[in-house]
Amino acid sequence: MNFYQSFEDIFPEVLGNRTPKLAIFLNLIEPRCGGVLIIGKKGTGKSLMLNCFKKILKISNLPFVEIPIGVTEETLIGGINIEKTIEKGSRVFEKGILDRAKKSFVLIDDINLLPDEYLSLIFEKAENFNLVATLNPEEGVLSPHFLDRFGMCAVTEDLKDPSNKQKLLKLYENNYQFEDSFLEKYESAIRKIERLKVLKEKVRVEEFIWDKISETVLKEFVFSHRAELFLFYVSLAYAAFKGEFSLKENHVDEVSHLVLLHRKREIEKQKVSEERQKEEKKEDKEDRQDLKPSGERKEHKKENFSQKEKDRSESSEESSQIKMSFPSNSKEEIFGVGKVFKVKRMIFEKDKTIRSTTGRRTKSKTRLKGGRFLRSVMFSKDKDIDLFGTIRSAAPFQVLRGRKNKLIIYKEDFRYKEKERKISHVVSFVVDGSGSMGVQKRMEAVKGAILSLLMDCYQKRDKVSMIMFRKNQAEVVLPPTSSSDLAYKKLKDLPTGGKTPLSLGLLEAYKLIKKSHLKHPDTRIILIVLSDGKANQAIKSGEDPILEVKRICSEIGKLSYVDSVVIDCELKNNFLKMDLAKELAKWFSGKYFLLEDLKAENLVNLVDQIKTEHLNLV
Amino acid sequence: MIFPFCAVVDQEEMKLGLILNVIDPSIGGVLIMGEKGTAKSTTVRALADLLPEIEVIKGCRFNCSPDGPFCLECLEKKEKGENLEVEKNKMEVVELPLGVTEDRVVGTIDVEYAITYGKRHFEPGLLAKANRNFLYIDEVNLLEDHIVDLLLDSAAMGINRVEREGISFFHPARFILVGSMNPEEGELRPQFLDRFGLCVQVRAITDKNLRKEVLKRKIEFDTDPEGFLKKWKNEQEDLSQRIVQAKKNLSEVKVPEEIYKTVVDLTSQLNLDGHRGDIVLLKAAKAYAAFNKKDSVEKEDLKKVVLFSLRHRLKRLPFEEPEMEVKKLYELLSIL
Repeated sequence: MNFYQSFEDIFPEVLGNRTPKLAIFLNLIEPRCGGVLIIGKKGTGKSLMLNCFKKILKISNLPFVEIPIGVTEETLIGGINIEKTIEKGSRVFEKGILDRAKKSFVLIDDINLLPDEYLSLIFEKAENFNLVATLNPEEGVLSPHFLDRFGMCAVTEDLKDPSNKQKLLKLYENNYQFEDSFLEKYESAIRKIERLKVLKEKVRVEEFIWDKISETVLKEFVFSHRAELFLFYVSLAYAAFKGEFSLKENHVDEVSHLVLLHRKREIEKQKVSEERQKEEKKEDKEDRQDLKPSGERKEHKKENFSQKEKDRSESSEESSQIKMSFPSNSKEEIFGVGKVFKVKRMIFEKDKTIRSTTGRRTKSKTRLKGGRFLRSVMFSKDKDIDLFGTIRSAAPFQVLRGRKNKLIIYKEDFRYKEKERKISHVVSFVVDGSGSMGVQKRMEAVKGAILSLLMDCYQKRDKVSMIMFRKNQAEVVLPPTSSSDLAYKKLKDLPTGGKTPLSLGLLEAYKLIKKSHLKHPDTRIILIVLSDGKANQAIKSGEDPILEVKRICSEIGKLSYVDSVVIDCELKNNFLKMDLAKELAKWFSGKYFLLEDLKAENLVNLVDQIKTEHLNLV
Repeated sequence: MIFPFCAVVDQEEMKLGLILNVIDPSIGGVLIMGEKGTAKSTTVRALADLLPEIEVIKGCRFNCSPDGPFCLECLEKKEKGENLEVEKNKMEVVELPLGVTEDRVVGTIDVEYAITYGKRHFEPGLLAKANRNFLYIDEVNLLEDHIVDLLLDSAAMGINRVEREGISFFHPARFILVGSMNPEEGELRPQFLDRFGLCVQVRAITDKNLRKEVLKRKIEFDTDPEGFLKKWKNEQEDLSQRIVQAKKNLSEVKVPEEIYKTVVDLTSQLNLDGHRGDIVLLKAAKAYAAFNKKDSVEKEDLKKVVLFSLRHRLKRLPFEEPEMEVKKLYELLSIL
């Protein structure tokens, strides 16, 4: 049978999309491949693919469970069986979905929509089952820690070929019964899987393959050992799939993208940079870990440069070699707004305050009626009774209390609902407009970044304000507002030039923060400082400007309702590099990003890249 | 008393969008964008009166179709070999209020039953009620994220799977999603936006005579609703008859080979994500042809439905109106 033709016969409902088909098929031949994550934009057939997988499991009688988005903790990890508990008079427990899922397949559609609490419960037990899930990167992605648990990752794509598109139209213009279609093809696929399961046991593995696997993984700067393990099983299944009796190097090469795609980090960046820069990177990482010990995720979260960005940074590298002028402080310029991009998600930790506001950024406990139910608690000010929780806590005592028919519920049985929903923030931008920011049109990139952040704020329903400092003054150019358009207009006209009164800018921010906290004590405030940190003018003449900055920073750092983010705007390939902004972030005990690192999360970029990069299957 | 659908002045695009969905529910719903007070909600609610009857399994709480897919209860009955009786029910418009809780959407344990009998029993939520019906969300862009997640989940699979509070249950949830929103109040999440088959725009009527007509009809309806309904009765019945007929004829409508080609040509040049645009465009054109008693789809039908099939799928840059792409769309149409 033709190799390509065989893909049309696996899941005939899906046209094209050979990579995800291959991944699912290999996963069926060898469940030790570690499950599949199907990534794709809307309308590219992710859910359909999952449904096809379900269909094949059903027909071949393999055990599987599905986890819906609306699942509760209770059913996920098990809890009390109230019927039996009421009868027996003592607690009778029952298993949750995850316990039932042992040694079977677990299917999750739109896995990124599950709350983090549940995700960690699921991945805690991920060793026990084979997870196949879908994810739309436009709706936010999984943390790298969770991603690593998936053996394979495959991207669904639009069809390019018009004749294929027409075929698709003909297939879907009428609503056919999904369950009953193409049954012969499914059965022949199942027979094939059975055959290959036997065949794969006979595939010979020679010594050099182990080297090949390690090399392949290390070449992509992937350090997780899971990658090697999964790559082995995937290659093995693939060799069987191709009907060969020994595992060859090209087998490893042809499937390595399935295993490595979601584990790659900043690969492009590393390729272009020289040894020396690599060293710096490592230091960078270490520093960041010091800064935020709880955020081990951060380390993985660095970005992949898109090709264009790479080109740009290269060209700016060149120009920096030619033109090494010192920043002139006297000139005043208005720079245009640079390129807009999708901003990476910044995650702030939940705090303990119960609020009654809403928004779209950070999760918070809520007093409002709506919100996602978190758990049942014994005490609550708001008296929102959790009826099921109450019944559950009353259940074991029914025999004791002498129940005849209706349940007997005492006051102490009452349980209340703890809920959470997302809130918005007030985001305060503090922008450095000094002369040093004008070097090599740095301000253009900075404005682009601010605009990107503004858009993000708009979508998350945050209020924004902007403070600009330069020359001898700091000015609130935009008081807190919900209008991003207004902010954009202000931003366009921001001039650059003069000295750097960083401390004054921060002081102004401090005042603004205090003021808005008085007005809305519930609101969390994000302070975003965009600067290279080269403060050179103090508020009081004669003071050390850096010392002043340090003092104000630690004041702001003490405010529990403020999260600070420092975005380092310094050109890192310049020999004048001082990394002062990193210090700044330390003083704030806040987050630190390079301007270039702000770009949206890995997977979104990866999906875009995939489209251009043609996957070589044969 | 509901204001009659036919008496809504102008707003033809919105009316057509809704009608096409009644003819072919698999088009996947309508998103209605427009300012306040442009008869968005009135029109959707008025639709209820025109809806045809569908065959359902008698006594099923989930509105199961005799041809499947079935809910857990019907499946159990089938396995026991029970004969499933069929009855006819009118389609409905089910409303999903903004402040709705998760429990209410997906269904949950029947607390009353649990307290009275000490047993677990599934109480259906709005998704059960909405199966094979219209699900209407006013101000859909203000709906809370976690409720949107639930809707996305069931819309993708057409199944509502409940795993809550010790209850494990599933039933089909194939609803026709209708949302109305004022875009100034904020946008929809891209994934959710794509779930709406069509997207229509309503504008405030600026024609003086038409505005006068709106006012007159509204006042007439308010003072003597019964008389008003009687006055519109014939027109309403004609329309609902026409819809029933179109529904019957839909499967007979042929699609010439060149229409497939035209659809694909058009969408390829517009840089859309995914294939829903193609499929919806063709389905809408077919439904439109059926509505006009034609036996095959023509380019004219495509032209009529293309804007509201693709409008919300055109890519736009941030802080930019999608006008450029719309312009391109018009250019492409003129070549057709």
